[in-house]
Amino acid sequence: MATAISVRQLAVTFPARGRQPAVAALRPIDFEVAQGRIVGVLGPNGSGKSTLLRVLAGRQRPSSGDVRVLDLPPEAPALRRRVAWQPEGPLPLDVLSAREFLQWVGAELGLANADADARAERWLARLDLLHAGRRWIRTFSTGMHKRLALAAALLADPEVLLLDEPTAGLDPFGSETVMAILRERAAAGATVLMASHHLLEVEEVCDEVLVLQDGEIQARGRLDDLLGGDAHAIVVRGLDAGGLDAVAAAARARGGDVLRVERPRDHLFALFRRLRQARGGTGR
Amino acid sequence: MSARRRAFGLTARRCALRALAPTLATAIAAVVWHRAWSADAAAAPGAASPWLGLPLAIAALATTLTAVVFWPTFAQKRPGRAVIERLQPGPLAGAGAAAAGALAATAALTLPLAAALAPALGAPATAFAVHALTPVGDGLLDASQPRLALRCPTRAPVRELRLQPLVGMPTESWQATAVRVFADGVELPPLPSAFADSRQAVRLAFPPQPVREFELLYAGGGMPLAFDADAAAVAAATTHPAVANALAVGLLALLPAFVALGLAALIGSMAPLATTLAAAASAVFLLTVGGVGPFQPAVVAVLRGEWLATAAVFRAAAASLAVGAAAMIAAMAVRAQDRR
Repeated sequence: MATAISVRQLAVTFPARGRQPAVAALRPIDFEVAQGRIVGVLGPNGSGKSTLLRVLAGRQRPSSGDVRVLDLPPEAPALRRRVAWQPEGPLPLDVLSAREFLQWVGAELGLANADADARAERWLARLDLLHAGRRWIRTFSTGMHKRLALAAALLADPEVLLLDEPTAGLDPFGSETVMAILRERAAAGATVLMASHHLLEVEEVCDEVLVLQDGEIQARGRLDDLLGGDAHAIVVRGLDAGGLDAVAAAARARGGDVLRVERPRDHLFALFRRLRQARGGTGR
Repeated sequence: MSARRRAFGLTARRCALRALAPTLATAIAAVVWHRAWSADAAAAPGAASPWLGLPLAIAALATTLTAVVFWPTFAQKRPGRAVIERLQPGPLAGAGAAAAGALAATAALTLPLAAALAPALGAPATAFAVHALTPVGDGLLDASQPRLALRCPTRAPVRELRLQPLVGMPTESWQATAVRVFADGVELPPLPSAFADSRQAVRLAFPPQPVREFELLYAGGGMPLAFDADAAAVAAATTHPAVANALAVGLLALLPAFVALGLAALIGSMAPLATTLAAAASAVFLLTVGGVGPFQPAVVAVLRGEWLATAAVFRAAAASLAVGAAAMIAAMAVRAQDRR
């Protein structure tokens, strides 16, 4: 599989300013992301997640190291349309309507008017913003801001998506929609790098994670490799307490170590999903 | 892709919408106030200049400030600035196009406003060029230096001489100084009055003719006369439509906005929004009601019926243009430095 993002010995240091000492936002780090993968960038506040995305978006010059996105330096003009970046924070031009904002993004990315309009309508509908298409952005809720920012990022069908907290402030339905979209984009060959504090969402949608701490990579790899162990689970239904004891005893008799017997429960996402299906919704 | 959807079009529309109400309100107030309080408007049309200048200045101020607030790359630390800079990687990250949009909106307001307001405030139906005459030598005229030549800068026919010399302390008597006037050696009719006060305006009409040089001849009196650069002028015989003159002053109203937007682009590359707005507002104020630059004299000239398309106005306009352009170029340099 082709490499979409390649980072070699990347370091970013913000120089000292007055009494403020220099800050090493990223110490030399190396990683690669294959095309079509969804990678979660995790880490505490100030660990360098947003700085990494800024570098990949061409908005932050590295202090050292070599960075390639789609085999080009991140600031290459050709990447403006091929790579979408959704930073944290409010959207610009918030006195425009959502539709005008997407039209502006489309114009700046070189889309023809009719094409941009069609794409804008499609993403507004998909992200449940069609009803707010004529409203000023400044009247939007945080979640609506996030959805519009994602619509703008997706407008030109980019090959790489750099998303900073794409689901922060979204309701569970909104989060699920975003994750579904990310899966679709990845299936279509797009590469996604998303910084997030929502571990459950990262676990659900990401193929790999990159854990940063103080600007260094603490852990990296496929979730199965990082989270898996040598323990296995047997999920049964229809046994009473005596039956469960018998299964546990059989496992021990074969040399196994029964770690715990518990009643598994679903996560809240599944509950929301069931409620929605019961209501007749099928997803945005 | 259309310009309507990009920085130029978005800013132009936003500026026009935001500036329309205050500009119209000021214009209506100006006309009402002028008609209610200016009884001798016809005698001194130049005195109505505040009522023409103020609405144009308000239009320039409103569009300038709206553009600076609207387009995020005009100041530091604005929401979404990074998104704009990535999508518009030009030297000013769209601020140049936004400034052009703001100027288009200013023109959309000031051109029709000037054309409508100038006649309503008493501007004459036709306009004519006024050329300053250049004195030869030290410009003094008295008993000891009884002749003074004034060079005419135009070869076009002229029809009126306007004299406004400075008057010095009398050397012999307090008698007003009389002057005879010659045009290319041919004596013109006598001046309507002698000179007794500094900047006393004396006008002499004569049949339209091209004149290369006027000569003033001391004809008695005790007051020495000094002719500086503003002391002698000639009115051209050719008239121009007043509406073109009014449109010209509408165009000149763009200069304060241009300079202010250039300064905003420069200061905003280093400073937050409040500082940038203060700088832009100050620039518009100084260049309009503050009297710096060609705008204020042009407003007076339009109401007096003096044609604006002259070299002096172009020179003054070019100076303002140079300041605005220099600020824009400096802003590009500062931002390029930041990117490195």
